[in-house]
Amino acid sequence: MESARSGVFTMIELNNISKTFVSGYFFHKRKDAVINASLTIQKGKILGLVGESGSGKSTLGRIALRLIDPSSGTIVFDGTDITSLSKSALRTFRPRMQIVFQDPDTVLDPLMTIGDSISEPIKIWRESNRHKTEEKVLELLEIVGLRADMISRFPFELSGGEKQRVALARALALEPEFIVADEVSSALDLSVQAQILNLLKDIQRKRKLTYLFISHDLQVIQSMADHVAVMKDGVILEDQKTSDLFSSPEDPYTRQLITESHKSETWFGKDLLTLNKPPFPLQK
Amino acid sequence: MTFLNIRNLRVRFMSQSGVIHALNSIDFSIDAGESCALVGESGCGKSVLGMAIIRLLPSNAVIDGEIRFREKNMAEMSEKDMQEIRGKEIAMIPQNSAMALNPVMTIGSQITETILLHRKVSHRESTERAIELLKSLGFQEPEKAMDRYPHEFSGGMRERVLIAMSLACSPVCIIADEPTAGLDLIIRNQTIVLLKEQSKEKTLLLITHDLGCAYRLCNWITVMYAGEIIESGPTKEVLSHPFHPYTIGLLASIPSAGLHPISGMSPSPSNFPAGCRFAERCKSPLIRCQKEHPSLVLIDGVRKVRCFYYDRT
Ligand SMILES: Nc1ncnc2c1ncn2[C@@H]1O[C@H](COP(=O)(O)OP(=O)(O)O)[C@@H](O)[C@H]1O
Ligand code: SF4
Ligand SMILES: [Mg+2]
Repeated sequence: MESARSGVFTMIELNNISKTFVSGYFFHKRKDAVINASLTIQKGKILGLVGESGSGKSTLGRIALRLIDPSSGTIVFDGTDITSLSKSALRTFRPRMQIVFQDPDTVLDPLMTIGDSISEPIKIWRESNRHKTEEKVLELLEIVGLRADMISRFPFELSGGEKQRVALARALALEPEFIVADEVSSALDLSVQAQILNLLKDIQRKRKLTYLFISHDLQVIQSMADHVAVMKDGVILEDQKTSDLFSSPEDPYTRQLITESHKSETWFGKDLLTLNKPPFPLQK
Repeated sequence: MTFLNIRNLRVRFMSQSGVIHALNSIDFSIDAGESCALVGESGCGKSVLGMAIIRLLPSNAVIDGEIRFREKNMAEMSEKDMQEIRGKEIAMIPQNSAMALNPVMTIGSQITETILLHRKVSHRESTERAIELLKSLGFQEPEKAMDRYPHEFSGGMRERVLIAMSLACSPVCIIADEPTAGLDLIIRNQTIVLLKEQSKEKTLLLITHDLGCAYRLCNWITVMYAGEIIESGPTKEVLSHPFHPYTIGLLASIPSAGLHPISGMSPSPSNFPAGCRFAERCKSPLIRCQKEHPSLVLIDGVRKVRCFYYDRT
C-alpha cells in the first residue's frame, strides 16, 4: 500500500482536495475556495504555502487538520486516512496536530490567565495533577521566551508579540508533531516578527516538528520553508524545493510574485540589505 | 520654508491605569515639498504624532510644546481655522482602511461629502471631481465605483478610496498612516507607485513600519522608539549607515537581511526607565546608559542620533 509505506516519512498528504462553500438560504451562492489541491509534507520539514489573501490558503490549512471537511479529496495523516473518521475516532489524532493563527486574540480567552490558557489543553487531553501541569506550563513559557511571572497575567496586559508567544505555548502544550502556522507574524512589527519566526524555527528543529507555514509574504516564506507551494484562486500552481522555486519558477504567477518581491528589494536598495547584514559593530 | 516645525512636544494620556507617556521631547521639522518617513514599531507614538499635528487627539490627551504650521502656532488657532487646514492644507490618510470608511455610505457620497465640506462647488461639480480622482487612482469604471459600498472592494482598493478622499481638496500636505499595512505584495507595490505619483510636489509625512515603503517614498527618515525620536536624517544615509543600535537592529530583522531579531521588548509607556529607553535591549549599554537619558544630538549637519556611544560603530 502506497500511503502506508510513505507514512513512515510522510507527515501529511492532501490528495485532490476541493472545497465549495455554499451560502445564502434562497439563492445559493457558491464559492470554490479550494480546487483539486494536492500537497505532501515530509516529517520534520516546513512547507510554505504562499498566495494573496483570499486565495484559499487558510481553508486548505484547516482542512489538513479536519477543522473543516473537504467537499472531495482525501487527507492522510501519518499513514492513516483521516478524511472520514468520526469525531471520536479523530480524538486520538487531535493532540498530534495544532494550529496557530494570525490573531492570537481569537484563541486566548480574555478572562483567563495566561497560565490557565496554556494549561487548558493539558487538563482536557491529559491526565495530570496540578503540580505536574504547572511545571509543564513553566517549561512552555521558557520555551517561548516568556518570564515565569506571566503565568498570572491576563491577555490585555500583553503586547501582540507576547500574546503570539502564549498562543504558541498553548499550541505546544500537547507536544504536537504537526503545526499549521497561519500568517502568524503578519500582524507583528519587523523586530517582533523576526523574534517569533526564529522561535518557530528553533522549536521545529529541536523537536523535529512538521509545519504547514502559511504566509502572503514571499520573503518570510523564503526564510522559513524547505518547500514552497504557490496558491492562487483556490488552485495550487506549483510546488518546489524553496531554492528551486526561487531560481526557476515555473508558473507565470510565481514569476510575477518573485519579480514584485525583487522590485521591492531594489526599491529598498539591494546594497542596503547587503550592507546591513550582520555582524554589526554594536551587536555582540 | 519650514512647513511644519515641532518643538519639545510632549503628549500624555490620562487613562484609568495611570499616565501614558506617548511622546517625549519631540523636535521635528519638515520643509515644504519634502517627504519624511516616520518609522518605528507599533506603540512607539507615530500615529499620536500624526494626530497631534492635525489636532485630532482625543480629549484625555495632555499636550505640551509647540507645533508651528507655516510659522503660526497651531495651539493658538481656533477650531474653525483648524477645520480649514484639515483637508484643504493637510489631509490625513488614516490607518486601517476597513475602519476609516463608513460602511453604509457609497464610496461616491463619501468622497463628494469631503469635497462639499471644504469647497464651494455644486453637487455636480463635486461628483465630476470624485470620478476624476477615482480614475486617476486606477479605478477602471469610476462611475460604477461611485455607487458601490466599501465592503465591495478589496483592501487595496479601499486604500485607494482613502487616498482619493485625502486628495479631494488638493491639499499641499499629506499625512499617510500605514498606507501599505496588510496589503498583499503586488497591491502594496502598486499603492507605493500611486502614492509616489500623487505626492509629487506635495509635502508628505509617511507613517509606516514598512522600511521599503519609506525608502521608496521619502528623502528623509525619522526613527522613533518608545515615544522618542532616536535617529533622523536623509533616508539613504540613515538606512545604509545607521548609527543607533535600535535602527541597526531593525534593519537586521528584515527577512532578506537574515531575520535577526532584537531581543526583549520595548518598555511600557506608563513606566519608562530613567536612562536610555533602549538600554534594556541594547547589546552594549554602559553604566552611563542606565543612569542618564541621552538627548538627540546633531552629528554632521543633517543627521541626528540619541545615543551616547553611536560613534563606536
Ligand atoms: N486615546 C488613547 N488613550 C490612551 N493611550 C493611548 C491613546 N492613543 C494612543 N495611546 C498610547 O500611546 C502610545 C503611542 O501610540 P500610537 O501613536 O498609536 O503608536 P504607533 O502609531 O506608533 O503604533 C501607545 O502606548 C498607545 O497605547
Ligand atoms: S545610549 Fe547606551 S543603551 Fe542607549 S542605545 Fe546608546 S549605547 Fe545603547
Ligand atoms: Mg499607528
